[in-house]
Amino acid sequence: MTEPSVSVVIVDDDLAVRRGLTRLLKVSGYDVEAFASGRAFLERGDYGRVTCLLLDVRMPGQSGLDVQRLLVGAGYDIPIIFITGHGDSAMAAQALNGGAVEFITKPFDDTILLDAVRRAVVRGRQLPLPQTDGRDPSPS
Amino acid sequence: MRKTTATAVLVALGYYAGANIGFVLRFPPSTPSFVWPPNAILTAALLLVPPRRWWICLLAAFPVHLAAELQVSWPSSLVLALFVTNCSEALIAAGGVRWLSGAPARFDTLRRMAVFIVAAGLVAPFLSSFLDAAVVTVVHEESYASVWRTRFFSNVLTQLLLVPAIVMCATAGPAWLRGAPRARRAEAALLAAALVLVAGWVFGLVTAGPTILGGPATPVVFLLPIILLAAVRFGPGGTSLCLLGTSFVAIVAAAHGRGPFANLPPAATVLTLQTLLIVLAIPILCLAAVLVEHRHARAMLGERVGALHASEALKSAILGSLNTSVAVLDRDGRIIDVNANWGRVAAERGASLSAGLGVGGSFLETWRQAAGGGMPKADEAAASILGVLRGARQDFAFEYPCHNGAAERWFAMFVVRLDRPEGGAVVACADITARKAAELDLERSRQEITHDMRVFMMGELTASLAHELNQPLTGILTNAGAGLRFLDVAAADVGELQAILSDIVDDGKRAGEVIQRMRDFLRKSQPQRAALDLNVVVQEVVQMLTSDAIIRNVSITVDLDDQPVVVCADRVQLQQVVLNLLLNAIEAMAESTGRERTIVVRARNTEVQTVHVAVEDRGMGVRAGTYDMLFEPFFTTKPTGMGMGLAICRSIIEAHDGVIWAQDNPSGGAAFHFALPAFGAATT
Repeated sequence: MTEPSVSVVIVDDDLAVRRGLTRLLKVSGYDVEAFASGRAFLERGDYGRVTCLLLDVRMPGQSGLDVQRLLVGAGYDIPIIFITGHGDSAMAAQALNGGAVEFITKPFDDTILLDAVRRAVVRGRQLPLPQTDGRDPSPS
Repeated sequence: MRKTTATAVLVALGYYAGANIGFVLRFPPSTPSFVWPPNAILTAALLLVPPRRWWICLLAAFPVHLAAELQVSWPSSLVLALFVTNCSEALIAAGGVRWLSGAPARFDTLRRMAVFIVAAGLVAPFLSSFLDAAVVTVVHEESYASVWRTRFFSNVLTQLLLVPAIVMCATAGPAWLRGAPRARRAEAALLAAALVLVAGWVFGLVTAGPTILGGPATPVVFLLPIILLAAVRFGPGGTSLCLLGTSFVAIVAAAHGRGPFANLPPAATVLTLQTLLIVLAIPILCLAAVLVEHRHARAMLGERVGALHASEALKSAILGSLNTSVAVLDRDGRIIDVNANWGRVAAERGASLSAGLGVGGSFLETWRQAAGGGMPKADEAAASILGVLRGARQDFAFEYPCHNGAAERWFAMFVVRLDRPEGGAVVACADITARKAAELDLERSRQEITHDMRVFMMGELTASLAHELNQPLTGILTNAGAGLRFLDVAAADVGELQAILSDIVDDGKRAGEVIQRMRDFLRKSQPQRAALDLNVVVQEVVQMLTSDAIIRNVSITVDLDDQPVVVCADRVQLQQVVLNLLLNAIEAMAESTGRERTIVVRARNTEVQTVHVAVEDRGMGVRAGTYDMLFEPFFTTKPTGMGMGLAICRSIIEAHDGVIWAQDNPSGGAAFHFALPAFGAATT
């Protein structure tokens, strides 16, 4: 309402977390899409319209880091907020090197998450649109 | 062949010598000899050699017979006929003895001696003398009856005196000459000397003859002590030699016209002497045989008693050497015998107890008193001992502790029915303190290892458990945050708020379950067995491992029975087994790339009252030949492994009467299986 609809994508394998995050972001005025796995998200395509990506690190199949690597590899620079159960510094460094915006450890306060999303959205707005060279980041 | 020749030569020599002796012992003018040795020699030879070789003896005797008898200028027809009669006597005698006696050449029992006296000593001379007399009367024109009588007495005496002597000399003589002790030889020599002296005196060779006693025949009784002594000391052989010696002296005396019968006509003298010697010989030979038989029987009895003593000594030595305590009970439970170890152990237990545990004490009563004194299960033991004594049960085993001062000792008692008509029981008690201590140690260390293992695995699981708690907490926080913001927005959708709250409640429960599981897992308790559904156990463990499996990118497929898979077991221990097998499976696939990273856990009821659980991985599998070693303690294939996981799994499964094994997974990797008795199945 206050902002133009911004597309935030959540990728988390835990249904309860997914639903909580969806509600929280929706009530805060974001346009939210949620996926249960990295694969499901990557199959969606049209990543250009994603302003901010909330990625769970630990997931069956592709982990959050795998998804990030694929997106970066395909030339997409979407602001990513990683959510993890572990405050693993090595993992955090790798994630941040890949262009992630934030690294949030579960369980977290809702305001911390919303602040992070807000920062990511701002950063996403400043970014130029990605050059779509037709490369598909989804795994072959 | 050599044997045949030797037999023939010996028979020939003996026959010839016998014939010549026979000629010497004649009383002119009577033709027959006092004794006629050739017949006895032939009889003895036939008794000594088997019947299939008798022809050798008879054939060997024939030329010698001719050679000896033709000296006497008898018609050759008479000589031939006499050979036939001699042979017939020997054949009847030897045949009769062989037929009736089991051992024809032995005179060591009354029966054998009696058989010899009747068959060889009486019947054979009786029958052959008819032939003899017939032959002689044809030539000499004497009265048949008188010839028969002289021949008969001569033959009887010959057989009785000579045959046992010859047979004994041939069978036992050489050995006696070689091996008899010097004292024995001296005794024989003294006896012979005494015989010659006394016989010489009695038959008037030395002096005119004794006149101190009444009738002329009386002094003959003075020979009796010597002949009886020979019977007692030298048996039938010695006796017959002694009688033979007496006959010689008597004949020599008579030939010189001396002796107690000197006043009779020669024929009457011969007959009287023959009668005397026959009447003397029969009972004394029987006596000698009885004595030998008696001596043998006594020696045999002595041997048996000796063997009995030896076996008794061996048995008590065996019982004494056992370091198990052994007691024998009578049918009333009284102790009738104990071994050395029993006495030692009873003494160690103190005087109060040893009174009841000694011979004569009531073992049953001791146990009843122990039961009265509050010893656990002592009443059961007493009842079971009574059961064995009454024959209601075959045996009974019992393990019990015994306090001796501060030290506690354990004993294993085994009571088994004594298999004899009087009944009773045998009690064996072994000190099993060391074994019991080892068992307790093992159990304790098993429990300690189990606990350590749980703590160790707890460490392993902490990370994933934290993750598991994070999930519901994150859900709760985000949902609660969203709910608050909904309320701020004012026109709150009640349905949405309800959904939020219900999600929060679910997550709260989820967190609670995680904590409960962790608590169950960590609780160190004595194993408690209860009916347990392995479907549930598998699900719980898989649930516990979900996040761990996710991290390691392994998928766990659960394949459960439609029906509950119920066993009687300790929940925590079985969780541990399944957990261990699953952790191993996850680890096994850590290094495998390219394969499908899947674990399948199956639980099944089988048809044979057992349940079966399998954990199949698609890892690298197990190196061939190491399947059996996998379950040994400290066997490990992992660089950081302790090698205790599978050993503990095995000890848990075996403690539940089950089996655990590993094999190749047909679709690649390894498969670990365990089987347990189904709940309610009879355990062995």
